[in-house]
Amino acid sequence: GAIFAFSQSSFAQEHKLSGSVKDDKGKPLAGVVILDKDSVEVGKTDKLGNFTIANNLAANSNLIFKMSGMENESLNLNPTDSILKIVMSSVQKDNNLQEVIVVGYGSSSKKDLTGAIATVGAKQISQMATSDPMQAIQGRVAGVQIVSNSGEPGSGVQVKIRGTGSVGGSNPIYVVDGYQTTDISYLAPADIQSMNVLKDASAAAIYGARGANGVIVITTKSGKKGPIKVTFDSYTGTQSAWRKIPMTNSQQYATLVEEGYTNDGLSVPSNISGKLDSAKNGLLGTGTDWQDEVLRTGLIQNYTIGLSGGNEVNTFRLSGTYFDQNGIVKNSMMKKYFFNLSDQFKVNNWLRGGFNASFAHYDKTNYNGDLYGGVLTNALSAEPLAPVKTADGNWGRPGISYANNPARVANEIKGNHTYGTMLIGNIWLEATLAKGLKFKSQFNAGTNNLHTVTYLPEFYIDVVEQRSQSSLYDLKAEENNWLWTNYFTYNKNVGRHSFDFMAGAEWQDFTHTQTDIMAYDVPSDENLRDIYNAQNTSYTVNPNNTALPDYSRGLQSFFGRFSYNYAGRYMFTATLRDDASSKFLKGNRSGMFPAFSGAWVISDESFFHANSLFSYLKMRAGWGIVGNEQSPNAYPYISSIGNNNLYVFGNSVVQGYAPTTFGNTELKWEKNKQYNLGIDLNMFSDRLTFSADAFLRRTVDLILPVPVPLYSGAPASPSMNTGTMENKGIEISLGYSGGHKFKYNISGNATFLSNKLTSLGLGDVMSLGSTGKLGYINRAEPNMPFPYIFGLKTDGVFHTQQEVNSYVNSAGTLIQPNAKPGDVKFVDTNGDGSITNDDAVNLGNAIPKIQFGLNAQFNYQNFDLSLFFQGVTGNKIINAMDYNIMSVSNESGGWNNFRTDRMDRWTAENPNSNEPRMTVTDANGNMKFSDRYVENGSYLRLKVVQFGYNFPENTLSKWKLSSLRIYLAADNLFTLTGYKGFDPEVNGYYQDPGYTGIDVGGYPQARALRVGINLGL
Amino acid sequence: KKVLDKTPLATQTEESLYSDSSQAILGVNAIYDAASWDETNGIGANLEWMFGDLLSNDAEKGSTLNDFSALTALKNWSSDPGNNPARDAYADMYQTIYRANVAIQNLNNASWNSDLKTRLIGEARFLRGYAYFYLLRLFGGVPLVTSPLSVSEMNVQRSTFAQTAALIESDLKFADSTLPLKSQYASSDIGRATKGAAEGYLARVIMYQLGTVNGSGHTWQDVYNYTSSIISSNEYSLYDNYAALTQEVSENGSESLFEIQFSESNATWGAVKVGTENNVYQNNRNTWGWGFNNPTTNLKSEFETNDPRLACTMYGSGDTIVGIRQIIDYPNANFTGYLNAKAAIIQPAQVKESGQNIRKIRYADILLMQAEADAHLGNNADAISKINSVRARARKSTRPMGTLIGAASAFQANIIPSNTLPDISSSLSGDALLSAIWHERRVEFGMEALHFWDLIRTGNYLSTLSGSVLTNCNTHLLQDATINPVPVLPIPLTEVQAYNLTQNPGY
Repeated sequence: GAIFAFSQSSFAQEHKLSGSVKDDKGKPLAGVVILDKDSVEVGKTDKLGNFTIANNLAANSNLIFKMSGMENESLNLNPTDSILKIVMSSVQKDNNLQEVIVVGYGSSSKKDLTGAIATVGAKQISQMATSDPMQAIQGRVAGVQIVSNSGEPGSGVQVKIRGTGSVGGSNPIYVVDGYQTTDISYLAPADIQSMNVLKDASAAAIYGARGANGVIVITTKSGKKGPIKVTFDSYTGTQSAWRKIPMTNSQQYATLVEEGYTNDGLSVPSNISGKLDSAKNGLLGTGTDWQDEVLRTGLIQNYTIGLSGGNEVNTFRLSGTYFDQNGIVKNSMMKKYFFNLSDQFKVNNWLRGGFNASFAHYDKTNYNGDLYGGVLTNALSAEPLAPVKTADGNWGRPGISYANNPARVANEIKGNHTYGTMLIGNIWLEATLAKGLKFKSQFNAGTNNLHTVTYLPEFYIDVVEQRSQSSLYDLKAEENNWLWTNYFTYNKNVGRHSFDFMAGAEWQDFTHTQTDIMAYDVPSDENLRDIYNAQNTSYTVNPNNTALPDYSRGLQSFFGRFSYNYAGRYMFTATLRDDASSKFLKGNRSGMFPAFSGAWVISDESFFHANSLFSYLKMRAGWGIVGNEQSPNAYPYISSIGNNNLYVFGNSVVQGYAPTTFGNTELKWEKNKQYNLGIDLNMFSDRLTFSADAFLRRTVDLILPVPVPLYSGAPASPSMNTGTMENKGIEISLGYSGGHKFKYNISGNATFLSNKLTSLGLGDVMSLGSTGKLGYINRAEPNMPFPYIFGLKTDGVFHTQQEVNSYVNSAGTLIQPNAKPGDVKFVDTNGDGSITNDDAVNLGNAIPKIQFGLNAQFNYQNFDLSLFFQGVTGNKIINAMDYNIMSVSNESGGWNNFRTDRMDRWTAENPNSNEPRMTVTDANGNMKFSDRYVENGSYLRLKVVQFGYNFPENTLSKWKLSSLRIYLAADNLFTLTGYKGFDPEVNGYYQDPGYTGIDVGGYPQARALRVGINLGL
Repeated sequence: KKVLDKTPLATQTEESLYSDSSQAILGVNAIYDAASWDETNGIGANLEWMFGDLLSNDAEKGSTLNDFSALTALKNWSSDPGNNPARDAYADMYQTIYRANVAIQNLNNASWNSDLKTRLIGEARFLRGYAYFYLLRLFGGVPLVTSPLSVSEMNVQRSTFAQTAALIESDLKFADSTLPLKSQYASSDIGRATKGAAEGYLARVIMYQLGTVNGSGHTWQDVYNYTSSIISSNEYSLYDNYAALTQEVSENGSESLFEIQFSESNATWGAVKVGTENNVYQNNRNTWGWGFNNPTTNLKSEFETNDPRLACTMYGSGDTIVGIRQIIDYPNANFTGYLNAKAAIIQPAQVKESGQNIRKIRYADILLMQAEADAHLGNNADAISKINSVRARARKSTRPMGTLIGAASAFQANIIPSNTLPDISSSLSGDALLSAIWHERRVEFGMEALHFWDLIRTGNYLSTLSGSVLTNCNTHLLQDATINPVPVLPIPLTEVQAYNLTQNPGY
């Protein structure tokens, strides 16, 4: 935004102008071009930012000050003006058309792009308190859905670009400075300069077999010429659960349990009646609040130090980050260190090169999120009557709910750690062979070491909650990979015609090996917890019977691109890539992936010039095919045999070998055909930017682990090319920036998406998402979203006996013969006169109809404020935890604690309630899976709010600093949602696509309050 | 090239496994492993008592009222097609069949030849027959799969009851003709299928068909012949002390034809485990168990006065067994006041991983099967002498293990009046003789998961039911082509919905 021009009268006779130009921090600006009203250059600022304009200028003339990266300033001259003081402010707009976008084996200016590509900058990436760069950009980009696996420190996110395109693997690949990987956890957010999301096939097809789920091209920060600059960035704060689930206290709990027996005409069993009575009479107070016992306020802190600089020959950047987070569940934590070194050098005028090395190490705990054994699931289920510890110091036993003692389970997190060490590096050389012709070769190598240690102590509370032997599981895994990329580029301009060629080849190889052992009777002393100290001599190797724990795979690729550009007005790009993967057998090994796209900058046409409202208008169209190499495992074509199918002969354990996988020798590439139509539009001198894309993604030859009939006995579902899936949608981004003294920038994005499975292989339906006693609650079926929720429909409860009696079928018999007033009324959807599994219907799905993000940024003098909202709407969540905590009976095994909503249950005194009555026997099957467990998953969340203060220039120079900003920030400050679980941001159980949208009381997102500092020397 | 042609790392394939004899044994071992999952597969639970005891008038579900409601549904014949024990039994038995099919096919294709190869195929076919028999009794006729199916072959439909029975017989007959006698195995191979086990199961399968399938082509003479072959092999005899029959001392002993083998284990989850949850399920909730499968007073009243077998079959509150005075929390956490004494063992290190073998078929059963054949063939005297031999052994039984506090593994002598369990009348014949045999079977094999099948094949099952359970059961009967109606469990939902298998009646 323009600030203002400062003018002052003078008495000079000639109308000669002079003045100076500074930026908004008071630094002189050199090289600012000054144009008159006819866009003729009339002057330029010198090194000190001063200028003189020799020409006489007519009165009331208009001057424009222009400099890249700064907002244009225009000024109406007064006849009396002679000395001008101009202040220019830096560009705040997101949509800088000249911005360089790395597109894969090359780069392009944003203006010349033909594909659907979105960019996120460093500023946005470092705004949130997280060590995960992808979590940081959640909601920032239209068409990119990012869902945290959970709020657990270091749990990672799931990224879906333009919907679920595959069942086997929907995560995009990342290209970090040319290195292709599926895991960027070695990168600190602070080391990232930009992320470019290649969304459509025309952009991603250059990555062929790996592009089906989109490509995220990441450029890390690098050094710049000049004296050494030091930056220090840090924040520290606290995190806490943004919500607790309101649970019944011991009095309310006892009331509900006793009512269950009374309603069924049963007496309360003697082993619990005493406890319930004293609770009901208030003798136990409110009881234990188990959520308080396992949750806490945790400290989060981050320190990043960066050094960069260089000269004509060599530039470098060095950085280190330390991130330390104590999770909101007691004992959960992550500590992570990152180091990054990058260097670029010029050997001579035709050869340059560089290298980049990253190292990361972390220590994180593994939280137990199991439906039965988990920390939070038990904290919700355990009855408030049980004490955390008994008088003798042993753990208390929630013996009415039969939940495990949540505090004990939380305590075991201490012994469950994963240590990861990653080292990734690359080195490259680029030679200019002739004018316009370059050759680049880059070699990357990475190693990822994982060490998981799970110690489970021996303990005894009672028969059920006990562990008679301590155990130690120890997993060491190592993955090594390398990637060698070589390509030529050639650029030729003929008049207004510009041609670009690129051709190259690439080889990539991965090897994964691991050893895992289970040992027993291991000392509890932390320093002795090692398999070498196991007192029990029997060990189990590969105790989880992992199929193919070791693997090796490789890719060989040839690729090329041709781009043509006429006068920056018409662009056309064609790419072709041939990939061969070791995952497929010879005949099916190669995949050809072509793409074509074009764009037309309408605003550069002569007929358009007259229009002052629109400053830029471009249309884009693209088509392409990309492959999904992630879908199959390393050797999908073999049926492998696994060990550890142990049996006993002659009283000795003998080894047994049995098939563990089911090979398919005919497997071939899963392909994605994609169509994209886009428009980019800027208005009001680029203050308003608008971009929209419509897309269609059709996945064919979908690689599905095809469920086979149980009678086949197949040990695992074979992968097959069967089924097709379709995602279509519209993405919109809109931004506006303006203001003078008070500058603002508002931008938002929205994605409208629909997904459906268009066909499926063997068997017309797949039952998915088997969740505890609810059974299979998700389903896959042609012409339905993948997956969708499948269950019974309900119509409240029967409020009176009369309602029960009048719910009859055509023969006059009761549709729900076992129902009593207060029991759930199920809808006989198929009209067969009874409630059976055949009445199950589609109850919605977990795919949001709309996902959106909204960013607002305000600057006033030295203050800045930014707000970022993110949300989804139109999706459903299966609140599977409700089976435990909204239960009407003790069917789940014991009397779990209740959400306080159960206090509104139907009783004779509260006959209008739709909350079912309490009952022990649950003869009506109220607990069955139905829409009672399905909730609206919409939410709006204030992800980040940051309020900062930049110290002014004069203070900085006094302190010999180049920049200093302090800020207050809050992450997840508030969330608006009707969802009743811990958090509406639900990825799903087991991180398995079949379990999408199923919430079993997962680790919620934390609310963080922080203070931070950004310091430059 | 190196990048693309990858040899699987550290991975065995079917071809490599069966290419030499010592490894091929490991493939066959894994079939036994899957068969042992009928006892526990670490995910669901489908122990044979959940059908063989629980569905009969011998047992109630037990534990607390709502614990494991799928068992309540089984007991009440109100299961839905998602019933877990039924589904898991189906899945586990087909897993056994699949492993057997892989072994049979690859052994047949293997280039090496030896007696071992014949034996291994025999073991595999025995286990396949065993698994199909398990399925037949629960579900009726099922899809018959006799080789590993390729994906395009997975469109098999259910065969009839008789066709399924015929496959079972052909597998068991093959096993009969190829397997060694029990005594011919090395001690390290004790527990493998034997000729005796194959013949015992043949007798059992034929007897089951005689009571259910019309036109099976069998006669009681067949039962007689197979049991005779076992008896005359002199491989087996009645174990001296009935009280020790289910305890460790008698494992794979003189009376044992086939047992599913277990051993205490550290691992409580997955295929790697070698112990069973059978005992923790049935043990007293006040010691270290979950208290399921409660013997009924109806079963108790079947025992004759002072029959020592009663105390070896069920115990009540105040009884001392395995060295512990047992207090049963009836009626809060028990349905009848009793627990299964045959599953009572000394507490294992991991409660879910006990080492008690599950006896599947024992010599007393061979004798009583033959007695039943004798009775049908008119050899009444032979029948009576076999019944009396079983009763004679019962009289000699000690008290169950550990009736003194602290002496957990000792067998205290039993002093019983001299007229206890007298020989049965030598004049018995016809229905009275059959009733005497059935009575003897019920008390001899109490809580050994056999009574339900006896009730079915003798046509006595439905008369043990009443009320809504009878109403429910009547909707699930296979009646065509059977002498006695056979109530069946639901075929798992996905098999019906996705693969169009015919569902059983009433589900």
